[in-house]
Amino acid sequence: MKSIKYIFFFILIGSTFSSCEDVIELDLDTTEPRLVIEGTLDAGNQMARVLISRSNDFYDLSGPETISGASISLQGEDGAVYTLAETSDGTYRAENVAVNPGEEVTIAVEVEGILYEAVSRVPYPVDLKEIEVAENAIETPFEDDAEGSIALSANWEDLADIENFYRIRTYLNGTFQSDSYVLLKDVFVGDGAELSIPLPERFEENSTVTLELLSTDEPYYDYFFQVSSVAGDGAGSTTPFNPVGNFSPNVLGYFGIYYASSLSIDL
Amino acid sequence: MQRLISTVLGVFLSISTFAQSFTVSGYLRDAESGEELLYATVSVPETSQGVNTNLYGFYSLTLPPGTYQINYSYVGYEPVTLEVELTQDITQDIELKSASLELEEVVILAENENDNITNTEVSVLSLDVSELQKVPVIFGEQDILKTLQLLPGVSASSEGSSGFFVRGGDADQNLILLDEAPLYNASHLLGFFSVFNSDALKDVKMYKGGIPAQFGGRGSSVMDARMRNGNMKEWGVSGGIGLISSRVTIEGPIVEDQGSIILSVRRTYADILAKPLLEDFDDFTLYFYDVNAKANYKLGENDRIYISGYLGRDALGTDDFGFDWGNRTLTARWNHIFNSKLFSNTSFIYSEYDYGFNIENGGIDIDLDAGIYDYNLKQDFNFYANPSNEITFGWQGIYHQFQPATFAFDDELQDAAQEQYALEGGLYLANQQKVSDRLHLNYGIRLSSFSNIGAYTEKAFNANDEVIRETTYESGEFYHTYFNMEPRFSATILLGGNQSIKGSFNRNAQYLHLLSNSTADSPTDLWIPSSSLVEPTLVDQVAVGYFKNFQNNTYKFSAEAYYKNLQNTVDYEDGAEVFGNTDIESELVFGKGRAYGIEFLLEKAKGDFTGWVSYTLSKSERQYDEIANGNWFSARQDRTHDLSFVGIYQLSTRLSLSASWVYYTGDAVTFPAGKYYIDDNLVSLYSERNADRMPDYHRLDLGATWKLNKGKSSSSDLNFSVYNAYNRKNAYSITFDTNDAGVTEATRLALFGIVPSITWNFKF
Repeated sequence: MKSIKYIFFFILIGSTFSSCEDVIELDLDTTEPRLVIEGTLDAGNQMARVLISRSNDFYDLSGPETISGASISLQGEDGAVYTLAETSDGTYRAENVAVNPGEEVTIAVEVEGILYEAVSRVPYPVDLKEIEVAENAIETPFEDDAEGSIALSANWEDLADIENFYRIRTYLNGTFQSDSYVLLKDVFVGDGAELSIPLPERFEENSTVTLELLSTDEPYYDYFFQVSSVAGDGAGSTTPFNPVGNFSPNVLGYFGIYYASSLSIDL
Repeated sequence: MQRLISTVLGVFLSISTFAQSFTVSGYLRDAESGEELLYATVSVPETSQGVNTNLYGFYSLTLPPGTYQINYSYVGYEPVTLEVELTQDITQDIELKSASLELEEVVILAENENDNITNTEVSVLSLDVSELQKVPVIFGEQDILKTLQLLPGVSASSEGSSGFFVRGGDADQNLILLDEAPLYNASHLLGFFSVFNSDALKDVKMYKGGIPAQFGGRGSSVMDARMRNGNMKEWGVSGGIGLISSRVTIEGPIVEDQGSIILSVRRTYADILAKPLLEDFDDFTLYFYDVNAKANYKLGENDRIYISGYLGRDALGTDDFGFDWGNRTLTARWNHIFNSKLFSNTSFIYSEYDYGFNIENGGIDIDLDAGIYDYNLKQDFNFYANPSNEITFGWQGIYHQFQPATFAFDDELQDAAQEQYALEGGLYLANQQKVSDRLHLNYGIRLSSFSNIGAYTEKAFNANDEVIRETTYESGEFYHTYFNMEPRFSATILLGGNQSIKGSFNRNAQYLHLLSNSTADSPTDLWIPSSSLVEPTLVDQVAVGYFKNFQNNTYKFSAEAYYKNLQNTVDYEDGAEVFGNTDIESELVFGKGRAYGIEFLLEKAKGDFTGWVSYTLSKSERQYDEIANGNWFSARQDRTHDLSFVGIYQLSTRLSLSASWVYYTGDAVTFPAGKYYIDDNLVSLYSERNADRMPDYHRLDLGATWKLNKGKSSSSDLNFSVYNAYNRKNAYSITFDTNDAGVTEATRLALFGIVPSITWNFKF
């Protein structure tokens, strides 16, 4: 809906008068800093990573406070336990975490005397087939920062008879575009279908675009779906709320498992 | 049921068995156009008895035998006094002449001189549609909804928007009727224009409280807009040409004084103007149009039929992307006069609202359609028992059909939410009683019902939104029914010295709920019916008011206080997955609300300078167990202060100047109280729901209307307006993000700077 509104604004702006956007200083409330646990398991590369930090004030110029000294372990159905080691402040890793599609994995994070647990199921690997320069791309005038003109589609084949969840992560000239969310559930597009998903961004010539297709578990999808809906700006955004992940007791963040598959294209 | 019928009969009998008396009845009409005059006053000065004409211009006055001076008056018209010798029942139609040019006054808030004091209506706003254009508005497009927003208790949903909230109620709690047909989305172009083309309208009344028993189905307000019938005497064309839209109306008699027809068309052309600026988008469309049409014919002394329709459509898109939405309504009515005391109207009404997307991508056609369709049959009776009692009663049945969003890929239908069907019923009885010269009452009751009808598979959900039970109902099977008694009461106590005190209580049940997961209204917001999970919203309201007129009704003052209690309000839970969800009921939470406030209105109704000052101090809160830890929080539309000034100065017979200034507290919103990062992206941390405020809103608009000429049968004028004259940057939205330097900041979007416009209006 946001995009629809932009169309209208665009017209009005272009035709009869000018609207205006400016940065303003607001007197914002502050709140007690809250713990954030972001845990992912890249099942294909057998790598687990957990980031632990604390939220800070909106206008705080310093970065997030990292939390050291947590003890973190992963356990699959076979009973094998993988312990994550702190590789830098607030970042914990483990390698060679061997899990299989459909397997249930439990994460236990003990930080500041409290044990947080989350459970998820390993999804199935899906390969990105190709990046297509889309000829029939939907032409929309509502990318307010659309500089380029090349539209891309990501093509792959959905796995039949399984409920699949996807996220596409986009890298432009090697830089991860962290504010772009393409999320997809196969129930919306047809189980087992040949998919061709257009990206919302436009790209310029002489750039390199890398797309990383994540076949994710449901908690990962659910969490990012919530993040993307609160991240929507403008008048049509959702009533603000804090996304709720799968950790118990409740904490900001999530534990998710995915298989990743990348392709690059030089434009 | 049986008891109710016997009560009805009892009331009739007791009232009808008065001493011998006779009735004078008929219609009040405009002498020039033959258009009926609604709510006009018919009174007998010597006995201080009187009635108002009804919604069809009909009146009936019963008096003991004798000779009377009967006074017929209507605002803006020269009154007529007629001597009547009442020795038998008399039919007396009256035509009133429009007041002469010199006497012309700008009366926006249409009422008879002191009706505001004497009638039993409390919390009612009436507008004189023909004078609306003198109030400055954006793009020069006169709009009754925007003018209503300048009055106490009615607030705009956002900048430039025709969406509105009444007394802290929600946007879906307004029953918006056009010739009795409910409009489910009264906005064009995402709310910047309303669907009401003023050229086609005769009368608009808004009930903020004290809602009469004949209306039901929405919790907070009723906006009753009536279309014109068309000129009964001669053919004419009128219209207007503006910067972004034009409109034309043709009307005239089918047979003089027997039947007439009116057709009114309006279209915007924002896209045509914008075309040169949008070279990359050749097939870009963005427009809306609407068509109002109405025909009526008198079948004899006692019967008349009306057929009216509205068709409005918004469309926007490019060559491979399209989005359109709109309302369609059809109202067929039959007025029948049984006898001089009993008037009836029978209506069949069809109303639909739907929207659709179409996207062509990579050779695949993706379609989405959704809508709500209503078939409505109702009968209303006015029984003029005697000058002290006017009884209204009737019934209504609405068959609703809800079509949730349905997807199709290359015309192949995808897994979709089920269609739903329901029958909404209403039965009412009310009496408007003049107990004494000092005390006027209006009391009644409405019995409403709502039944879900199959075929439908009803699902029950657990706390994790998973389906735990499914029950399948056959086609046509009634599977869940709600009943509600809705008492309606209002009283006026005349204090003398042109002042009165009024009070009202009403309960309204609402069986349809509009779900919106965004902070702005959108054409794709979803209407759902009550069901065994979604209980009907019940709204109780108490209002009291003090009314006083000064200096021969030149100044009118009112103060009203209200308290509103809302039960079973519906909202999406946090993080609801709305798009394409086939089990939308699993994403809902249920709560309650309260709203209270005090409203002041001071109006200057006569003289070269007219206008009003309106001020509302109010609060509106909601409570859901699942939101904000179960604490009460401010509703989005909670506006502490809401102030409007409207002034119109008739400088000469040709030139009138106008200005309006509004100020209101910013909407309740949720701003971040902190931040954190997920996958390297900034995420705002929120603490309390709606605990913050948008910056205060204020704006000055200016207007001027210059009459070019006024002949006997033709006239034209130029209307200039300047919206937001001092270029206030009112925040439409505030967004929070990281700038290029990696610093988090808040960005304000102000939609409109100064917007000048010019419109040429004509009438031949």
